[in-house]
Amino acid sequence: MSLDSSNSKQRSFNSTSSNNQSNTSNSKKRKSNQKTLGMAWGANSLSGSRSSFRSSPFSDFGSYMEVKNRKLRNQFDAEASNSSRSDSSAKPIFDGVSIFVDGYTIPSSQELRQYMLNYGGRFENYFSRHRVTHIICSNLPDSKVKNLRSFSSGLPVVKPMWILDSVAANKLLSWVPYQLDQLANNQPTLSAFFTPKTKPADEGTFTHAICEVKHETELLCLKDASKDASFSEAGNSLEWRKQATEEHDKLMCENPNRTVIDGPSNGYSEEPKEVEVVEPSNLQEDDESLANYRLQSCPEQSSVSVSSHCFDNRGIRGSPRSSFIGPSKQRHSTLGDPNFVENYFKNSRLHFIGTWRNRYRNRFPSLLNGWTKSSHSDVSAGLQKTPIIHIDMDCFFVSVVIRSHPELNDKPVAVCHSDNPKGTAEISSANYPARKYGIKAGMFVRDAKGLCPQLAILPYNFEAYEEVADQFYNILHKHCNRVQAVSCDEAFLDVTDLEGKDPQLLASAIRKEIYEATRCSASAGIAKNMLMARLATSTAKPNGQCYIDPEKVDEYLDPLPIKALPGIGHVLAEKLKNKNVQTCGQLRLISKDSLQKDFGIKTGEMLWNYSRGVDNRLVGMIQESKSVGAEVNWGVRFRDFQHAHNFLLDLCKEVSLRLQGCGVQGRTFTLKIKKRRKDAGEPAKFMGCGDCENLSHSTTVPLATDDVEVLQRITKQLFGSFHIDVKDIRGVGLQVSRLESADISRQAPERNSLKSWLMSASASSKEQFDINSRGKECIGTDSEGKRMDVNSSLLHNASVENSVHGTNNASNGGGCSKQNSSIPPLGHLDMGVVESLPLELLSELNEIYGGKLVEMITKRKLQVVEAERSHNSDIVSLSRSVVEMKGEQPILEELRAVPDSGARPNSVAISTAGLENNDLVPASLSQVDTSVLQQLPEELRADIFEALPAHRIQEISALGPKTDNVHHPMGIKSAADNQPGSASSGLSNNMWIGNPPLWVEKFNVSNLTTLKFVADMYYKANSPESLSSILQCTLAESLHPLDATSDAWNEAVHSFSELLMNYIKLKIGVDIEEIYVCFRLLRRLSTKSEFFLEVYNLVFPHLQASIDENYGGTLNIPPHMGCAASTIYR
Amino acid sequence: MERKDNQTPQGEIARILVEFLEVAITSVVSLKGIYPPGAFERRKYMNVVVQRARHPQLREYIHSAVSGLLPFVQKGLVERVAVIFYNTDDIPIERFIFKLTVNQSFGSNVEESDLEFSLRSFLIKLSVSQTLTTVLPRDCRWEITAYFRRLPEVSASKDAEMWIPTDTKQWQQPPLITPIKSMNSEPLGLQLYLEHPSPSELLSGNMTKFGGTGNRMFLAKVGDQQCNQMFCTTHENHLCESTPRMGMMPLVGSKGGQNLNWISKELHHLPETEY
Repeated sequence: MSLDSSNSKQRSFNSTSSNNQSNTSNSKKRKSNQKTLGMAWGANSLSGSRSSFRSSPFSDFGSYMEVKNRKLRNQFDAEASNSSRSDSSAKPIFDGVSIFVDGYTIPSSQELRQYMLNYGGRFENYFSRHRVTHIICSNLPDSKVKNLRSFSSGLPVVKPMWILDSVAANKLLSWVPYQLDQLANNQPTLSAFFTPKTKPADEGTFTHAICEVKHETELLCLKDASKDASFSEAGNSLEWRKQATEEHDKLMCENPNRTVIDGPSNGYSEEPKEVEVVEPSNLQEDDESLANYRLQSCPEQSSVSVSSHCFDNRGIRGSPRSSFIGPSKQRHSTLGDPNFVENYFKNSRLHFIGTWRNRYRNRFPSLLNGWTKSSHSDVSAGLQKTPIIHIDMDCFFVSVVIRSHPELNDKPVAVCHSDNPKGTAEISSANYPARKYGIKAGMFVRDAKGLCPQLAILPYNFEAYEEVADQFYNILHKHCNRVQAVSCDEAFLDVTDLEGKDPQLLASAIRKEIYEATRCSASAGIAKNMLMARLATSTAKPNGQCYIDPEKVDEYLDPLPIKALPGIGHVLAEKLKNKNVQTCGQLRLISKDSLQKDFGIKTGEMLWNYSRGVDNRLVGMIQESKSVGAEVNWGVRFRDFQHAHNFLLDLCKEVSLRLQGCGVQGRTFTLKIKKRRKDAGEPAKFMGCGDCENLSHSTTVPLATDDVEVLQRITKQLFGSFHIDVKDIRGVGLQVSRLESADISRQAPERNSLKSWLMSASASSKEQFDINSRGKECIGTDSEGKRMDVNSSLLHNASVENSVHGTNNASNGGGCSKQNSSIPPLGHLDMGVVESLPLELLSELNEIYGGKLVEMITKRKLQVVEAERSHNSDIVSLSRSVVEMKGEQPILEELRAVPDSGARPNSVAISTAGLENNDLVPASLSQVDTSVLQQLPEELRADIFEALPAHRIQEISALGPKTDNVHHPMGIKSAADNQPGSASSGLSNNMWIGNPPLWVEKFNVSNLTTLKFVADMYYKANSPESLSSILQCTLAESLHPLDATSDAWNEAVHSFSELLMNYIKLKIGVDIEEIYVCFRLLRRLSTKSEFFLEVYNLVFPHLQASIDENYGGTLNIPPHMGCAASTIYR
Repeated sequence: MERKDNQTPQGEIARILVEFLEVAITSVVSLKGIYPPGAFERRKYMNVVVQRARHPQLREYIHSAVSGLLPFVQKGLVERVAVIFYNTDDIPIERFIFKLTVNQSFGSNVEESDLEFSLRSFLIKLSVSQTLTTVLPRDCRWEITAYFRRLPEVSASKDAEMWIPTDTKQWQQPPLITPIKSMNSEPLGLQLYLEHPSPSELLSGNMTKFGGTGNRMFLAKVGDQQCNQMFCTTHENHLCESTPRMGMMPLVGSKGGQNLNWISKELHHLPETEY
């Protein structure tokens, strides 16, 4: 399956939607929809159906869908204008809302469509990320819940009640409360796609999506196939059917729960199934409510999840047991956990923060885009006032978790993924009471416990974090429309526009509201710019707010240690310290030039600015991420290469998901590997990376991609270039840079790729239709294959037969190879091949080349003549070999197959060639076979004698008198004439000389019908040089045997036997195969005709004697079935 | 007269022929199923799918055997190359005979493609000839044997030194011959045929354990005799001798050393475990 996941999801999306529509009463709709898919898959499956497709006005599926969608929209617009006119009371409450209904809903999608018509919304029949704003559905299959992001593309998934309630309220309500229950906790959360899932179930759902489509495909294909009589397609669809059912069966076994949920969408059941889906998750929540652990609504999830370990562990907190360490050790490394990558990121706080931005962007996309530009205008104004508020939640990760543990409110608490007191897990966040003990983030748990034995350690609760972060931002956005999110718990507000309000009052109002909503405190800093606001917040913490008057900036900065400034880390601080600079005041004394000289232009300028409280950044400037990647530097221990390999594949999946989540594709791929230093021992931190060398390799591909398979391929290559012992690897990271927006790059490559170049006119298709891309792929590769076919047949010399074959194949496949292939330049044509083409084809080609072809042919006439000759021979031989391959394979035992007329490729052809060449006049008469000479017509003989050199004539005359019985003037007499009775001794191969051989004429002139008949066969046989071919012909024609009593009988038998013995003599040394075939044929003939039986019996001993003489054995002629009967008959 | 091997037509023919023989012999061995199918991999040769031995020793055995014949093929000394399958009693069960005729007086250049085209039909035919062959018993072994028209001069070529005498057991009765493929062209004639013991041979009880239980035969360890590379020489004239039945037998040590037999020193073992 080379589908990328998003494609398949979307496809299944559509197939379910079409099913859904089939539920509704609108049969017309359903019909059209079915037809669409039919067209789609027809275009998709194989070229066979394209012949029917070709007649349509659409050049390909893409343009067809484009036109269809346009038409649907027009229809909708027309209906909308009608309905709004008729129902003037309705106001356009859904202005700007465009819904896509997925699956079975109450009310039905048609009713929803009517609502949209009446209230100014839009209704999309096909999912498109660009046009759809909300996805409406009542329930989702697990697969979609788990892969929500690829399913919904980040769009809100809302229950249909939202529309009904909005209509009832006569205004557009917020969709947030109407989120699908299944997703309510996590939509569109991180964990939604990091849900721990057992592998088979995951695969099952994925294949189900495909399988759904396949079911449909198969039907349509069958339809197509019957229409176009394209058998290959039928075959394919049968295969599909098999696959599909297999997959379906598998699925049924694995996940009965899910199939139930799928029920309604398949249109078999009418009941809403919301309850069923939600139930399991609720149950689980109850079970684990103590732990405040909200798990995903997938029932099979708790099996592998690491979080459940944390839960267990938490339960026994305070009574540390060493037994716990064992299993956790195993689980938490790449060694023990097959889903390590998934779980790793699921439990990573950094990952949570890192991916949070995408979630935020999906949630507030309009807000981000709406005002960033406008704020540029009043930069100068903004600098004068105190317009920036920086809000930061106080020890967010702890305080969120602590809400459900009121008893811990004032106690030292830290958040960490493991609370093994002796462990080396790092504390990710500590609350203020804990900080008083000196506990900091990044500290090992065992150290922290050492500092503060009563420290409570809680696990992460990512769902809660998300929930609080959402509330936090909801409040911020409510108060101010210029919000720049820094992190999930930190944001800048630009309140320049809010002239009327005192920023300080606003800040406290916001903080109060945040506390009320989330029971977590936040601190705020208010200042003239982002830098100062941020610094103010650090002063304000915890749970306070600080206002820095623009006048007092210097006063504030002077004592501030330089490390407090953002952008100054250990290294820079150390360097500055060497220059005896420790506070901002000291820093301010250094000139800008000097700073830039020492630290580089940018850093120098930054230092100079920051030390003066100058910050020109604007709130809302979202920095586009320059790279997307994932890195795992903990728990990485590989057993062997395969193990590492699997890990890489998982990492690629993760990165691919992240890319898709950000809607970007990348071109440069960097694989980073942390390699254990040779002398480094086991790191202090359990399963940490320790002392490592950082290695990296990167590669850039021409086309940006987010496809997981491409990523995996590239990563494999990169990994291979490291040449590293996998046991030394302590960390792996894959980073993708040179990002392009997925929307742009999705179109661009299509235009550039070979595939699209080969396609006739699909570049215009901008719509992302589900089946579309697959269809293109098929067409693309298809035409590619064809093209190669045609090219190769045109270009390869001496492959006339092949080209004929190729075109045959193409036409069998129902293809239109000529249409798809581009015309090769004239010079590339093989003239020999062109010349051999049928006239119609030639003239057609000539037209294509505008008459130049014929010119060229005339120019090359001489060469062509020669080429043709060679080709002809090639044709003959090629066709023979083809026949041979076809004919001989299955039925060797059967006599008929062996002597197949065409089955004698080279030997005969070559031997005749040899004979032809031999008609050079021999240098001496001694080389002349006298018997041959004797058989020649007189004129010919005279010619030969004339042609001989003069001094040779003496020899001839000398030769002459030696022979007895001089009939001939030259005195040459055959031995055979002397001893006509003894066939065996005196036979020569003279009967086979000439073209046609002598016997043909001899038989022809004889008055014996059988002999005449055989002579006739000589002209009918495919390759008359070989007796087997002639006998084959004889066998095919029903021969009427001679009457045994006829006078001619003996003569005929004798003549024919003589012919055979001649032939044996001719062939015995070089071609016993031919003899073998002849005698097997003869054997067969002998069952039909007594004449041949007689001949056979007469010659057979002679044959075996010859074989024995030459080969020391007897020819193995298998007994024939009719043999016994014929013997009796005789 | 002889310049370089490959420059004379005979050299060229011999080169092509020897290469072909290597492929064809491998095909025969593969066809007989004496090794597990995994011992061979599919390759393309002369545009036909053929089998190639994967085990380096097996490959090397066949290669060295036929390439050792190259100078003799070129001079037209080699009359037949036989692939002989023996049962455990070292009695031949089946012989694949390649009968060669290299035209020594052929003067013009050989069109390699023509020759290859002709040879290709052997490979095609061979691949479908399994039904003509007998089923081998278990624990059989096989060898390559070359029959010479006349003796090579021992000192002339160091290639001859790798040859050692053979005392292959022979059939008492003339064998049954089943032709598989023949070609005859001006520069080169080649015939491939099968030899099986005649039914009377079987009746006489010389052949034991005839007929295996299955198609897949594994090479058993028969001491060092597993795959001896054997070359026999036979006198040119014996074909015309009055006792044609004895004609196929190498005349061991007869007639004053004129009919010396040669066997390779190199022994070939094929460890089963490596497959």
